[in-house]
Amino acid sequence: MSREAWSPSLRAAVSSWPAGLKLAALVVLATGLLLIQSAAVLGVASALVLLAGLLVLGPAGLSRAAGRWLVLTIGCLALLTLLIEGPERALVVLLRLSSLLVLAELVTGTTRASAIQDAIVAALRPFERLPFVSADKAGLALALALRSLALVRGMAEELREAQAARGLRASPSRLIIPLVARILREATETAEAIDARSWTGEKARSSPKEPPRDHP
Amino acid sequence: MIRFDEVSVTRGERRVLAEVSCVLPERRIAILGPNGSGKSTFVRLINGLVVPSAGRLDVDGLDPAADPKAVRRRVGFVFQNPDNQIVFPIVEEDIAFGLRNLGRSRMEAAEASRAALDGFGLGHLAAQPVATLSGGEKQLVALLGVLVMQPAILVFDEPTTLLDLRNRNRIAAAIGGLDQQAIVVTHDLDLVAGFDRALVLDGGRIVADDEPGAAIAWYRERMA
Repeated sequence: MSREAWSPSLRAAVSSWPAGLKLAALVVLATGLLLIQSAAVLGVASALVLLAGLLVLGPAGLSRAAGRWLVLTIGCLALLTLLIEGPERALVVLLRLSSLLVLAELVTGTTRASAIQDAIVAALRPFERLPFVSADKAGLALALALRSLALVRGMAEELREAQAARGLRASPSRLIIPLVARILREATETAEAIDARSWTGEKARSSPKEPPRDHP
Repeated sequence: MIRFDEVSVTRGERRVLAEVSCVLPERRIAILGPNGSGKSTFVRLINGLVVPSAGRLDVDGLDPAADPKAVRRRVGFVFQNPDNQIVFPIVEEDIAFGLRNLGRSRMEAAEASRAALDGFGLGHLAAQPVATLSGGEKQLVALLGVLVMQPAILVFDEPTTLLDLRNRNRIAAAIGGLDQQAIVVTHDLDLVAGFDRALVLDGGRIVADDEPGAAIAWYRERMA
């Protein structure tokens, strides 16, 4: 992947930074982007973020980060804002969300999931006395979310191909229900696999789990 | 040793396993049977992923329903679809996951992961994103993720179902080379031909229990 970056040495340097530092920087920069209301200032900030993205990730890395559905979602939101609030606000939404996407990819594209997990767990550990806060669960959820991106993309592609083979045109409304159903079905086995691999962050189940159906 | 003592599992009104009793001391045991016969439930009982509705199960002196954590340290489980088993996006991170759960430091887990990958001739995959692996490589990574935890017993739930012939053969060779006891649920009858014992389940009951040659012949005839 480093061969794709415009500046492999910068990429190597960013990759060596601690995950906690990068996550903290992401929080600060994302907050800054949310606070900027001027399209002109946001334009300059977005150009800098884009330049950083090209230097560290390269065009191919940025393209991977964007993904068709994310670009479509950002485009829809910008279009909606254009219709409701006018062109300047639409430009702000477009620049802000695009920059956030690139910043997030700058972190996940240069940091191992296990390092991000460790950083999240360490950051949340002091707050575990608060209700509903579990550092281990948050860390595992994040690792699973990162892993799931490629899986869900693959599932969506398979469903699209299956629908096309039956003569159906691609449509988000046709895709969403079977995709969600499949994600939920696969998630059950993933949960079992995590249990089977001795993960102890989960509290013991109080009631017996239903047996699975045999696989076809 | 694994001992089922009149173990039943019910789901609503349906009895998935019905008063199953058996002792499993052999090194290689195949679990055969048609879809919906209770095979997956049978093996999930062994490491506490499913608990019995009635009866008792003993795994090396431990009760999986009462102490699933201790049992899972002894019993590794390899699922049919490695995509559902692999948690982390990078190969060596995923293999280290189980070791971290056992309390090993990040460095120890990373070293053990690399050693395990090298041992299987897969060292070149260590830094690869899981999404770029073939089905067979993913299944081997899933197996390694379990093996590094050094379980005494390994359970496989249809490990070759999603694989092509070459990858199926790699997994078969990996299972054949294991030191541990292996219990394999499968529809791949060639995979288990050299095993020590085969159980055939149907309707939640053990309907045949023999050496694989005889059990497979009986199963083929019954399913014809």
